[in-house]
Amino acid sequence: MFELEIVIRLRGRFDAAQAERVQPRLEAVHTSAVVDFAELTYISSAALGLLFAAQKRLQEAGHELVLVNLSPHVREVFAIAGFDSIFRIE
Amino acid sequence: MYRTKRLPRKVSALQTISRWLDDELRRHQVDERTAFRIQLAAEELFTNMVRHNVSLSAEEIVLEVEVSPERVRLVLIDHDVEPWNPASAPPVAVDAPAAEREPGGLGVHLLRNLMDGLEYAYEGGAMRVEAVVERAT
Repeated sequence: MFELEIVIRLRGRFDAAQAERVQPRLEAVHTSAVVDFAELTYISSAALGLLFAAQKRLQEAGHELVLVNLSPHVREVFAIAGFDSIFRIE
Repeated sequence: MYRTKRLPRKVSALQTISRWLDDELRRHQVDERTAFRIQLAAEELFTNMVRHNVSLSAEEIVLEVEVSPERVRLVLIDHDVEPWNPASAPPVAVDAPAAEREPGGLGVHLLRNLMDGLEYAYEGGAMRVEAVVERAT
């Protein structure tokens, strides 16, 4: 059986200045994908908004983003945003 | 003692802000948790000012940071603007399902939950917001 896993790797800072650059790449995802946060050091509300919009669009089509390797600080931000019930975080 | 920096009213200035803050916080050996929160406060407050405030004089936004052994204090001042209190932003329904939520509006919500102090003042046409994070012991 053949399986294709799409992995999106985030690196460095994902802030409002980076959001414009990342948005078209997230919009190009049309199936379930893993988002790897291992090398992400910082995230802000602008980035959360983009990830949420992608998740909402994908879930409506029966897909999802699965988030992995979040640092404690980034994970706390997701929890405060209420995103730990919207995203599968592993 | 505090340090000051003036920034143009552009979201692209975030890179300069983050590097400047990173240097200041490292110099004082500020812990990672506190540094993350101060970086977040700087971005959320600065981008709010750039996007929501119309400055009549296009004067630069002033950032101040003061690091003491107990806490880090960050102040942003925007001159010649209309009063707008970020604390007046409506609460976010974090328990609502994704279908009932919209992207955006999370910045102030994060700051309300992650800052140990968040104060707004408006005087003489200048908006001043102060965020405080107590350093981890």
